[in-house]
Amino acid sequence: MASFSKCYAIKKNDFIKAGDASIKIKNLLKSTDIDPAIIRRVAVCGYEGEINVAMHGGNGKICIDIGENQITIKIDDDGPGIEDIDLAMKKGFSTATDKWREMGFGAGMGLPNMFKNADKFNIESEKGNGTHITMEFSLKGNI
Amino acid sequence: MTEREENIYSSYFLYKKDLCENCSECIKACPTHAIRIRRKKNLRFLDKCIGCGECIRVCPTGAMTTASKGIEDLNKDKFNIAIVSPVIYSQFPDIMATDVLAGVEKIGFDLSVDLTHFLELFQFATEEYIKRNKSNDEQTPYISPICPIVIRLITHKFPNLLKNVLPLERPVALFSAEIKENISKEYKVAEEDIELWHITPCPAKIISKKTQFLNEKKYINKSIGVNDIYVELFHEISKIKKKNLDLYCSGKSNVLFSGRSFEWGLSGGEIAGINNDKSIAVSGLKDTIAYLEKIDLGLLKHIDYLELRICPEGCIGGALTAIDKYIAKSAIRRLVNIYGKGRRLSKEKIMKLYDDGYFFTTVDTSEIKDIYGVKQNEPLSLDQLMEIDELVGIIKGRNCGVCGAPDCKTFAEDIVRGKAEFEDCLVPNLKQKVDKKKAENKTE
Repeated sequence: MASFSKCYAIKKNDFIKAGDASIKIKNLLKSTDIDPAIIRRVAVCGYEGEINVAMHGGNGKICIDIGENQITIKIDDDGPGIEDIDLAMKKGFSTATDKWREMGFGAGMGLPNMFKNADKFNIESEKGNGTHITMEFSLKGNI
Repeated sequence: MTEREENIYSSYFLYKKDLCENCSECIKACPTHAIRIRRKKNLRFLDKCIGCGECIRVCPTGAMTTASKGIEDLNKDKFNIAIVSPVIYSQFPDIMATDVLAGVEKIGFDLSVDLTHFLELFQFATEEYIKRNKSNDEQTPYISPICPIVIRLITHKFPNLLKNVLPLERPVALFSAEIKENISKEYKVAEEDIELWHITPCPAKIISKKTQFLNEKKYINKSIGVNDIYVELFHEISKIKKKNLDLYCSGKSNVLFSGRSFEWGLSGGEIAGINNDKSIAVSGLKDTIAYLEKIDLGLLKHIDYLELRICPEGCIGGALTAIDKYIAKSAIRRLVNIYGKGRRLSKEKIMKLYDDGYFFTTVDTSEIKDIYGVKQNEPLSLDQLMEIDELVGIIKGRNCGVCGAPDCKTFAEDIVRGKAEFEDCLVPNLKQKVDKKKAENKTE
């Protein structure tokens, strides 16, 4: 089936640029007639993911795939990986340092927020092997 | 060739073909990609121009200018009132604001009026509005309605943020709504004989018909750039007194002004007069867009109010100013030191006006779209997205701009929308290459 894909790099510790890819993705989607509510959910998930990678993960990339029936966002990084995924998915849990908290990050809402906003959410991670997230958003014949 | 063919107008600008050297700087600088040159010098403005003036700033030959007719447009049979924005004071370092006002009358206006009281009124009202409507999660952070270009940018690129625009009338609208009536009584002139002029650094305000932000259109008759009158005004002012500020250094001796009013033209000057420590001031095209993108993502919820200005450093960086923005900034700092930062107006009076609804706009911000006539692009289909991407891949260009579009991607989009031709691109046999690729895709 025909689909449109694009990938963007995410850099470790770069909080000024983290989020830029999601903005590009948002603007790409805005040039289509996809429902703005869906675009917002995609952008929020992408943004949270980017911040997570920059903050904890290391270097990585975010990819979008627009199909006829769904949008898929994949976020992969080569960081330290997550030891306990169930714990990381809990609201309010965060390993962010004080420095990041001062900048307004680290509220422990990143992963739960992504889980909440995506129609399908899958996370794979183990210590030393990075983190790999796939999120799907149903378009239900929207495009 | 007739003048009509030589000069091309957008809603806000005038392009003089004979001065153009085809460098395409303006095309690349335009934030909404509203300029194209197709088929040798035939420049076109698309319906996406927001009047920001970037094209004027980057044009090396002066081919891109405002559509201002200048002071020659002054009709001597009318009673001409000039509304003087505080930015104008910053253009005359070490000259008293009152002398500037006097100078404006010498160059041909019957009356010059200072706007700054209304700026303070607006700041009070903003402060109160935020205080009373803080918990409205849908609309926060509120966006300042002051910069007309920001509002046009939002209309064009972020229409769902129009709800965030503070629904208060801008000071100049509040002011002009009253002034004709008052002057008519005081000077015994018929209201229809009064022409209201706005002297402004802002290119988006030059064609008054297009300055239709909320209620403004009803009052302002003509607008003129600060740089249109600068030299004449400078000569007149130097004749008036030739005294410098030191002679007036008696603190707040002049009750007409507060330092706050001069700060208005600076980035941060609007929020400086608003008691709210959760406000941010952002200036410059790039940063303003970056912040709007963030609000669009649902971020910055912890901020109450955003003062956004398209021009770098605020209105003193406007495309129609006469002196450099940093010199102007320093001039303002001196004025603030002399006049102090006190407020001139009594809160009780203003609160009464506020409760009477004096400040609220009568136009629904969501209607602004129609008022400006800024058009959005037709949405692209998934197939078109892929077509554009493929075309960009085939061109493999470096955004040379020969085609007359700002970059290869925009050119590809123009092609897919049927608004450009393959031959406009430097890549030889582009059409054949695209057809070949299409055939390959089919067989796959």
